[in-house]
Amino acid sequence: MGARGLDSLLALLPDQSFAIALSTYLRRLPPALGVTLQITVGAALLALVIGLIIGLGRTSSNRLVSNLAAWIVYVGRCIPLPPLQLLVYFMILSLVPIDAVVAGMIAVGLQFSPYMAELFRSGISVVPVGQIEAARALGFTEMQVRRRVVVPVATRVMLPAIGQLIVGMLLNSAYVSQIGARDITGVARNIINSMFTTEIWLVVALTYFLIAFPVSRFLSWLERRLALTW
Amino acid sequence: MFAWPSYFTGEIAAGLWVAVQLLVVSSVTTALWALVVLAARVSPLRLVRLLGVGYIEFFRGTPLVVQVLAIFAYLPSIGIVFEPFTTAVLAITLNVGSYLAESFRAGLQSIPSGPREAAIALGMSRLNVFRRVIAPVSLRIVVPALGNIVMQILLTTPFVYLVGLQEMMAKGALVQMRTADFSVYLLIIAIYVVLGLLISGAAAWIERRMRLP
Repeated sequence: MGARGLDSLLALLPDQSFAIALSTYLRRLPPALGVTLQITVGAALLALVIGLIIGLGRTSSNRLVSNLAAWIVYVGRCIPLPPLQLLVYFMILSLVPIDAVVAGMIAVGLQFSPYMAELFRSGISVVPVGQIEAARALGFTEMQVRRRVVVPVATRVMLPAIGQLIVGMLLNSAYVSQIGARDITGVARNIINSMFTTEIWLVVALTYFLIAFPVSRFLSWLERRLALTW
Repeated sequence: MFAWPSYFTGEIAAGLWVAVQLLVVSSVTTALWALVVLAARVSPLRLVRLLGVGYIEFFRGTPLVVQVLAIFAYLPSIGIVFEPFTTAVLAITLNVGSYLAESFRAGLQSIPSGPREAAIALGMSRLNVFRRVIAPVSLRIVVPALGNIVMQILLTTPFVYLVGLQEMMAKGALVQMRTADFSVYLLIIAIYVVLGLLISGAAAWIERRMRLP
């Protein structure tokens, strides 16, 4: 359906100020959706890298390393997104010009890293010792044990949970509108502030819901499918 | 380490007091609301159950920021005007309540039906079955979950300054506007870390005390 067809449909709505706001929102939605997804992907990559490092640190046999990693997780889990994001944004801004979108990626990625680290840790520790020993007994090198036994089993357990965390990042990316990013929420806030049509919020919520709910449902299904039974 | 100038620690302290009040009040309202939602979620009436599922999935599938801003904008437009504190409690309760109701339900499902059936077979009254069998087991499942929920509410509180509540984030923004000093957010993060470690420490202690031998 083209923009003209949409407008003629919206013209049928009884509340024309809502219709105008809705048509503006829908027109600005595609780039805004791109920004939201961009923040989500960037944050997810950052959280995966940092989470993997901290998660491996927690399973380290070196007591100093594992304790340090554990404390990073304990402390990191107590940090809420709003002050973290404003600190990251203004601190980097005082040194170099930074885009709100990039600041949002960093802040959301940092905030989710401790949770990601815990996932990696539980994923690694769920691999039964017997399987690792069996692989060693068969003459696998340590590298082969990791690549052929630990990683496949751990991935199977972690994949759905990582997906759920990424959905969480998508929802949390909405706060980036506070520092001026033109993501879904940012675009909506501009429209609502200039047109006073609060009903648009329901449409905005629905936009996120239509992405988050199916993905989350699929991940729950995947979790049941991949569940280990031994 | 550097010292934060006293001209803003006073303001942040005032905001902290509001945040703590918010945390206490919304922990209670969220727990109560989650019980209501749980009752709807497991109701024998299909329509009520659907309402419960719909509410839980919708609030878990939309951003907190959008919920807070929507509640803030929508209530006055239908003629309901609340104090910022009340609006904040409402937003937190509706958001975290959806997660808590779902975790209550998971807890309820994990209770084995054997002991309850055994108690009924022994001729215990319904009240006694609940008091001596169901309640002790469910409490041990629910209490650790409550620790997580207070943590989640703590992490939710810095979002509600968006409704005009003068808690730490609002004060921080004022301080930053006046002094251009963004290190105020570092102070706020430090306060949240202390509060969070206290809460998770207390929750772990209670969980240890309640563990079955």
